[in-house]
Parts: sequence; structure tokens; C-alpha cells
Amino acid sequence: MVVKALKQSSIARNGVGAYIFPCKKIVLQFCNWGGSSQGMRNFLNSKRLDLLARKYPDIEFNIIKQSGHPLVRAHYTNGREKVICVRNLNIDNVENKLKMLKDSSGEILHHRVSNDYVESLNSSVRGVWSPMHVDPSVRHKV
Amino acid sequence: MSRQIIASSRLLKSFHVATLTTRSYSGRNLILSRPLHHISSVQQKTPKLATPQLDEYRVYYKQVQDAINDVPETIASKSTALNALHSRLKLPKAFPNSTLARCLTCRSSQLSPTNNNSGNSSGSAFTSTVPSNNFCDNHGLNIFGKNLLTYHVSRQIMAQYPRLPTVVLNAAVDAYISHNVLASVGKSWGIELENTSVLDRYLKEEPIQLTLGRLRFFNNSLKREDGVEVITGQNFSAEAAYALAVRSIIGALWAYTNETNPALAFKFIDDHILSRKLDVTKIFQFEHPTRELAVLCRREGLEAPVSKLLAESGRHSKAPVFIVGVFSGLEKLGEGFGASLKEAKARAATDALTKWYCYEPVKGQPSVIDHGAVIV
Amino acid sequence: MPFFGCNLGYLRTNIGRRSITYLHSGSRVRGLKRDPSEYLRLPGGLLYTEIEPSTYHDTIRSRLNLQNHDVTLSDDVIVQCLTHKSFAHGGKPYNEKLALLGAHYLKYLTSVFSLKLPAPLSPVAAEKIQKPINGLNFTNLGSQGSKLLISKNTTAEFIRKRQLDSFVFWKKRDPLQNAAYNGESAVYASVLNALLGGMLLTNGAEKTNRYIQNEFLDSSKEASLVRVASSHDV
Repeated sequence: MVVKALKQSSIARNGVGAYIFPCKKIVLQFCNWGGSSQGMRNFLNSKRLDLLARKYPDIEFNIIKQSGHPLVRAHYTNGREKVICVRNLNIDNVENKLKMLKDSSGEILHHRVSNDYVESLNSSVRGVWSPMHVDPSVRHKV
Repeated sequence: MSRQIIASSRLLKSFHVATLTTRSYSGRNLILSRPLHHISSVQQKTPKLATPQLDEYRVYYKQVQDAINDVPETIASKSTALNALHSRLKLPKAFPNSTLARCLTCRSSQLSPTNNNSGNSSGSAFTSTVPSNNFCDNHGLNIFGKNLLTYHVSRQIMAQYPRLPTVVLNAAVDAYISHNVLASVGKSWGIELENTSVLDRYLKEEPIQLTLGRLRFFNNSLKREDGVEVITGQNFSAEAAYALAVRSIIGALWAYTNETNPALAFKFIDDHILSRKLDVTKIFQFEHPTRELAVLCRREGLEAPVSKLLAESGRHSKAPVFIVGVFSGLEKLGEGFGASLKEAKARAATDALTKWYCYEPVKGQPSVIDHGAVIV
Repeated sequence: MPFFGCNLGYLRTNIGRRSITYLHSGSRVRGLKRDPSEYLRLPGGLLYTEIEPSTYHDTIRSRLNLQNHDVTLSDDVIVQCLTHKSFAHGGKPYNEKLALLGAHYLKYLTSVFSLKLPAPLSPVAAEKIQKPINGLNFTNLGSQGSKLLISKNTTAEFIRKRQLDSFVFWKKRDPLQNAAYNGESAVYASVLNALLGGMLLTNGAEKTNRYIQNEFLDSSKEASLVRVASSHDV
């Protein structure tokens, strides 16, 4: 045989075809005694979590009672997790933090500078300019 | 034991030295082995302990075992992980949670006492799964899912690239459905592994339905250590278990929808597997591109390929660049660059061959039947 | 046997150039081009370049019952399906990839077939029985019986029973050795798979599916895969 095959793997493109919501699980941790958990306890007592869970059935919500400051812990499909400590936050702020985690992709946050606005697996449509392919009469000679 | 004795006697023969110490060593070994055997036979007897705690554990263990042996829909529908997975994959309503739980039970999780080499079940308390029967695992579903995937993926790739050589076609199919790729698909679906042992779960008073939402496979917590990765055989690794689960979900989806909506399972494969990015040109590795191109032109009735220098720069410098095109008659087949004429020529031939083999018919064109890759 | 053919080719250049090629026949000599009429001929006497549609293609069509199922295969596709890669050193269109596709399709359809059988295809141990889903019997998959349905020997036997074996273009590894050494079953199996692959590509999945159900998986037909496999079983 003349042609040989090199082993390759296909690369996932979430959203091309099926879209899997990146946040898969959110764990809410509260303490029944500590004052810093007051906002979290209010949040859990209100209807807000029910509404959220109904709106996002893709996410699994877990609630854990554990002493210490209250935490919101989100697990993502890329295997990473993000944790936010919501101590002394009121009910609205707890909800905002939770929504922030829910909307995150799970990737590490990084600052975009002007040269890498676009991140793509595809090669450029325009191609790369080559000095060798310009008209020979105007080509630069070394 | 006996082999050791034979070996030692051989040693004696070859050295012609019969020292007393060696003989007494082999003799002592024989004596030692007897009490060892005796001890192990004692260990195999199960100790009779009957405390209320143990009885409760026994009940819990039995419940887990029963739930896995034949998943009742009432328990499975309570599992949050299963519900979330069901919704994440947008599975139809006809697909019950109990089957989803079945897809997550791998046969390797069912460590029956006969399979276990040690012969005793002392280690099974520390495994994260319980021994169960084969009635409700993903074995058959996995086989069917694999057949379904292989057929559909190879058909789609052949329709898209009708001229791929067989080895490349197989590699392309593998790039979509090899078990590593399927494992990453499974992870991206958010399937979690069952990592805690049954005893731990009992002590945490974890409800039974939680374990139904996790991937159960041969996963022994006794042998796990930080920083040490256990590389296990084919169907015992976590990767293989993920792949099994993905294949069985696809197989089960077909089983539930083939009568109502036969295209749904194929649509599911298109959406989740074939939507991944693969550059087929990266798979090729040519050994003699110029020769192969010549044979190809002869077979296809084209004029023999001729390489021509199109542009060059710095021929006498340290870093020359040549652009070579390969032509058949007046038609340009390919182009390549290189730091030497030879390199550029080979690259041009490779380019021409890649363009031939990676030909994509446009939509609406009747299917192309390829004549096969050329053999040099 | 002194024989040589001449081949005069004129290239479109200013100067006419004449090229003569010596075509060797008889025993193989390294570096000499062989006479096509010799290496394109089967031991049975059939010459690849001289097959007649009336005796070759139409016979194959009728033996495969293609007309009854409204399946049309062009002459080229039929010849390609019956040409193994070993023939003429891959110089003629061969069936390797069609066979690959056809094998996958046949495997898929036979697994569906064994799923829909309520009774086990071959006896299985009690602890190996799987819970059926939607009335589909998952115990049958991976069992001996379902593997036998599409095994090399079964599909090759099918080709022999339909008397297509003398039409297959292939080259033996060593003509003096037996069929097992030459891999005859594998070649014949590839022919059957390639026919299905070609059918799938040109006639679509629906017609191919119907064809397979009626010709291969119908146990009332004499030369169907189910019958052949069950006779192997005994």
C-alpha cells in the first residue's frame, strides 16, 4: 500500500448540530446556623429556585447543608467547576451569582485583546498572501 | 512451587556444587507453603457478624442491587441526574429513565464471585458497584449501537468523500467513533462516574436513585491511590465505559423510535457525532506521491504528470524557496512549495493526490462510485 | 510461446515519436510488461475485457433476482462489485470500499433482524438473558447465531449457491494451494457485500432494505442467509 493513514480525532463543536448546555450541575451549600447564610436561606425558602429549575431542566440542582459560609458550586461539561462564596449576600445577589455561574461556559476567563477576537477551527477563507504568486513583472527579486 | 524446585535442582546440576544450604532452602520453602495455604482457606470462610448496623447495611446493599438488577421506573424517575441527562440530550418522551439508567450499567461492573480471581468477596465491599445479574445491563444495547454508528458514519463519510482510500476511510470513521472520541462525547454530555463505594454511600445515607444516574463500571476504590493511574484492559477503563454508555444510548434511542420516527436515531448521530470537526486531508500519509500520481494518471487516462517550476526565490541563498506545479497536459493538478526542487515536487504531487482523493461531490449529484485507490 | 503485441502511440509534439512496448506472456519476468489478455483472464477462461452483457451481467442480475425487487445496477457497477482488489493488481475498478459499506449495512440489518426475533437465535445461558426493550430481543445480539448470519463462510456459501463464483474476478495467492489458503471465502464474501454496497449507493436504503429482507433474511427462500447459517449451525 502506498497511502497510509495517520490517526486523527475529530474535535467537538458544541452548537454545530446538537447544543449541550455547558453547565450541568449546580450545588448550593448553606449553613442552618451561621448568619452569613441568611441570604442563601432566604433564597432557598423562596420560589426562585423552583422557577429556575423548571426553566433549566438541563441543570441538576443539589442542595447541601454544611457548616461554614454558603457556597454556589457549578460543574460544567468540560470537566471544570467554578465556586463562588456568597457569604453575607442578600437574596438577590445570591440569585445573580447563581445565574452568572449558570451562564458561564466553564472555560477559564481571559481578556480578549484585539488580535484574538476570533477563535476558529476553520482555516481562513481568504487564504494567506504569498509573495511568490504575484505577477512576475512586479515581483520583488532577491 | 514445583517449578522452583526443578529450577534449583537444575542449578545444582549445572554448577556441580551440592551445597547443603540450597537444599535446605528448597526444603524449607516446601514446609512454609503448607501453613500459608492453610491460612488462606481459613480466610475464605465468611465471618459471622450480626449487628443491627450490619443488617441495615445489608438491607441497603440489597436495595441497591435490586434497583440495578431491574431498574424500576418509579425510582429512576426520581433521579435528578437522569432527568437532567434526558433533558440535555433532548431524548423523546418514549425513552424512559429506567432505560437511560440501564445504558449506564456496564457489564464490567458486575463482578460476580466466579469472575473474581481472588475467589473471595472481601474486596467487593469496597467497589462502587454491586454484583448483579446480566438482565439489565448495556451489553446488547452497546453492540447494536455500535453497528448503527459504524454503518451510519461510514455511509455519511463515503457520501461526502467518495474517493477516500480504504485505510483513510477507516481512519476517518475511527476519528468519529473510536472509543476515546465517544468517551469525550460522553463526558461532554455530562455523564458522571460512580466513584464512591457502596459502604460510603450507606454511611452518607445517600438515596438509591442517585447511583442510578452515574456510570457504573469496574471501579474498585480499594486500588485507587492519588497520583497513580490504573491502566486496565479494554472494557474495564473509564474511557471504555463512557463509550459503552454513549453507544447504548444511541442503540436504545433507535429501539424506542424506529417505529414512530426511524430517522430520529440517525439525526441524533448526525447532531452529536458527525457534527464534530475532522480534516480528512490530515489523515493521508503518502510514501511515493510522484509514483502514485503517475499510476493514477495512467489509470484514469490522463496524460502523464509533468512537474514544472513556477516561481523561485533565492536559489543560491541559504533559504531558497521553489514553487512547483504538477501538470497533466495543460491542466494543473497541484502545486507545492519547498526548500529544494525535489521537496517542492513531492509536495506538488501530494497536493494533486489529496485533491483527487478528497473530492467532494456537490449536493444533488448522483452518488459517485469510486474505482478504488491506486496500488503502486 | 513467442508472442508480442505492439503498441504504437503518438504524442502530440512537434516531432513524431514512436514507442514500441513489448508485452510478455508466459512465466513472469521481472521488469517486463505482461500481456493484458493473459493477466486479465480467469483460470476458467473468462477474459475481463471481453465480457458480454447477455452472458455475464444479465445472468448475474437474474441469479440475484434483481428485477423482482426493482433494483437496477449498471453494468459497470456489477463488474466492479465482482472484481476483487487482487485482480490485475488493483488496476481495474475493484470492490473493496463497496464491500466495506455493504458489510456495515448488512451487519446493521441482520442485527435488527435478530432483535426482532422473539426466540433466541442460538441457545444462551440463563444468566446472559437481557431485558427486552420495546419488544426487541437484545439477548440475540452478540450470540453465536447472529454472528453466524453474516460470517464470511455464510456469505461466501450464498455466492456459491447462487452460482456466481465463476464470475468473480480475483487472483489466487497460490493457484496450487487449497481454497482456505487462498482466502476464497473472504473474496466471495466481499463480492456479496459489495453488491449490497453498490445497491445502497445507487438505489437507496429503502430498496436495498427490502431486497435484503426478501432475499437474505427470508427463511422460506432456499439460498437465503438464514437458511445457509442454520445449515452451518448443524
